[in-house]
Amino acid sequence: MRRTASERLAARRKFGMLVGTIGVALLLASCTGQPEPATQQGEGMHRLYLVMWIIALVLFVGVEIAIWGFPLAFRRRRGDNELPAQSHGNNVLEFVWTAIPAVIVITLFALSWQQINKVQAKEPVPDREIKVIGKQWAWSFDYGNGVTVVGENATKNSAGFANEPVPPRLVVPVGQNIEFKLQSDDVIHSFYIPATLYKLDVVPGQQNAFQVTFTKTSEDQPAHGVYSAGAFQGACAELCGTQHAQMLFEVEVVSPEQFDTWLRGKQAEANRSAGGAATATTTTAASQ
Amino acid sequence: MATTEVRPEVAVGGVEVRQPYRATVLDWLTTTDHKKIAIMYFVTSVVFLCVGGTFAGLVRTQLMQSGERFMDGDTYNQVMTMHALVMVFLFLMPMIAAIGNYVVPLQLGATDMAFPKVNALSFWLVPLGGILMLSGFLVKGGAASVGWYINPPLSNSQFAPGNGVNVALAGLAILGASTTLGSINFIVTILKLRAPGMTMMRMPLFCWNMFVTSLLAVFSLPVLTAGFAMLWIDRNLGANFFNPQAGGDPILYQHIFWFFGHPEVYILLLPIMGVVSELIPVFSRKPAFGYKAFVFATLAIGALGTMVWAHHMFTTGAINVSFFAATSLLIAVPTGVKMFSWTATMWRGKVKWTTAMLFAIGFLSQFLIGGITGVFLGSGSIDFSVHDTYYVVGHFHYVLVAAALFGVMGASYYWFPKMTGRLLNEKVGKVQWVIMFVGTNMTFMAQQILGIKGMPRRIETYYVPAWNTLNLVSTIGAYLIGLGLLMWIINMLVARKRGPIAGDDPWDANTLEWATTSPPPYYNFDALPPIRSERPLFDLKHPAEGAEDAAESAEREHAGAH
Repeated sequence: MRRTASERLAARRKFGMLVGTIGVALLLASCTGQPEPATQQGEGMHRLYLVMWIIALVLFVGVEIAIWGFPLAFRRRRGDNELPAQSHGNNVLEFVWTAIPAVIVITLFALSWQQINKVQAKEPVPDREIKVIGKQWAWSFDYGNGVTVVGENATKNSAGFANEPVPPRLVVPVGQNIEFKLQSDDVIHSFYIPATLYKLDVVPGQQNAFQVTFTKTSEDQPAHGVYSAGAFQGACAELCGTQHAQMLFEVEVVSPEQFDTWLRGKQAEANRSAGGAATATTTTAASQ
Repeated sequence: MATTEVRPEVAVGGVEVRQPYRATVLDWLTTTDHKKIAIMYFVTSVVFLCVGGTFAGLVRTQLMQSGERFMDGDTYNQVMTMHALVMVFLFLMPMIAAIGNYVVPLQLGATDMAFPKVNALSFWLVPLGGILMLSGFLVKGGAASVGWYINPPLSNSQFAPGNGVNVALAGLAILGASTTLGSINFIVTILKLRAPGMTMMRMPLFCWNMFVTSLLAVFSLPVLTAGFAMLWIDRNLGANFFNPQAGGDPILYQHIFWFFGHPEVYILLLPIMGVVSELIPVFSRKPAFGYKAFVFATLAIGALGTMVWAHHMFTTGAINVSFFAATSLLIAVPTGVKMFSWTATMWRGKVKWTTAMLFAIGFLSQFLIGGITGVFLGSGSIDFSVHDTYYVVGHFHYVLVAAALFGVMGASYYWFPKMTGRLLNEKVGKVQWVIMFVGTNMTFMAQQILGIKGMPRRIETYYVPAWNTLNLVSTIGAYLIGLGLLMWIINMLVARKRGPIAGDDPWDANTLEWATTSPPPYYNFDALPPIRSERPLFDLKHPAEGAEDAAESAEREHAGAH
């Protein structure tokens, strides 16, 4: 059964639309994929992301239509051996399609520049400073005055495979400007909390720090694998050796009152252990 | 009838030449013929593609599900690192050398490269460097497991004490020397060996792209080799260039690496853009739309490509993000010009949907995705969230696999008949295209989405079950790509002996390589047509169409010469 030319064309159109729909659906999925921002800085980034995403979608759809549509519309028919018109170019058109992307990228740069400045901005005196120490392969968090949360070192089983990690829990108050000071004494790590839409490398020999203000608590976060409920995920984002993948942590964002209660508890614990045994180092168990 | 029965390999001059087996082997081992060297580059590159592809399969198998227990962390890191090094330095770089070596002298109407013996040396350094690099799997402590940037301090003698990193550095230095020599060869060939009448602005676009690529390689590779040498000295002689505990600076290494590393992307991509710029005009039966704009866009990409390296370091906290965001975003402009030129070339053409053309269109379609996602990364601010996640992995695989590998496929379907005298099977090619198109988009779109969700890259496993589905999609896609590549290799092996005879000019093409026999004799051309535009063969076949241009440019040439 041979199909007529118009049926074939219709089938091709249908196929084209199917491919297009799948492409757009995949792109849409990637749009909604960004974690909901949990910080002031992250909200601006998320808005910029959406703006860029819409521009990108329009360009993507337009250019894909040209990429697939032109060769389909102008395909060579069987037996047609005539040459098409030999056009070598068009200066006006070429100028226009140089100018349009130029305007778009300059606009994007202006928007992006504001966000870069915002996320890199620092208050002279933050509400709270937390020192983040990355090492092969665990995170620990130092709140000052001997209050620390120390992650358990990643371990392997007898076959050489990694055991499931126990992410240490970084507790921070909502609504306060927090400065994370990053420190590493071995290799480069990267301190990454997806919900902040930000990360910064932890570079040995370099004082890296950034400030964020969380805008919501983490109480509604569901559990995800080794991450327990009620906390945002955190991970090392820079390859740092064999157990890089196990170098996880989680971030519990609580109200300032809850935070103060928690900190007082940790302080008492720290004082007890400091007073109890002078020889003991500052290592405390991970707060779970 | 008689001509089609002659085996192409003996058709040259109508004289059948039969050599004993040993003489053939000796001939290949000692050849300085650019075409034979190109074929050896090609075969080497495909062999390493199989090696690197196997590594990719292992990586994707490991990541198919959360908590997968297929390889331990150290093995995974070795395989992941060697996958990257093999694919970049042993598959794509030699593949570009292969296409360039075969096509550039022929398109220029030259008899060979400028320095044929250096050319042979460039080639033989590749298997040497490759074997040295892969020998890491045999040394104590295993192959390099520190990622392909080989960033210190992770790669210094304290944290990577084994010999794997040492042999990788030595192999990479040899491969760097190979590419530097090869690039100088291309530059001199293009500047000095063009046929009479072929001005720079009548040079085929592929040669232009090879020219800019070679300039970039000469500009950036020695810097990388110096960086590797410093790291090697750090590791073995305790120089502390990059050791923060002794006042060295690990960020300095990253500057050196990416000063090469970003131009490297264009070193790999420009020749592929050149390939596509040959295929689209030929199969649309129109000249490239805006030849001059295209040349300037290529030069602009080359120039800008050297000024953007630190966008790989936005999250180090040690660079000016805004400056490098600005230069990075600017690259979108010449890249956009190229994209518009390609699509406009197809507009009002008479497009032949050959397999080669299908791969060229696939290149455009997927390079667009790689390009757009690159704008997000280059913007600086969005990069803070997706840097070092699977978004980046998805992005650069869109550029280097979904786009560059598709360009390589297009090039092979287009030039294989010239190299062997026989056509590849078009039907198998189209099925292969569908499988690979579906495969690449499954693999790398899934990775981009995972990255936006926050899955870090270079992890041997993950503990978030919510990422399982997308990772499974990505893994299935990767297997599909492997299947497509297998079909491609089988297609070539079969067609080499049994494919239909191609003839001199199976695609009704425009450039000089199609003005000689397939395969060409060792001296390439008996005679060259007059060269009055970037399409000398087209002008020869369609004197009426090209007349106006030819008269015009002949006049200009006349005026310029006197």
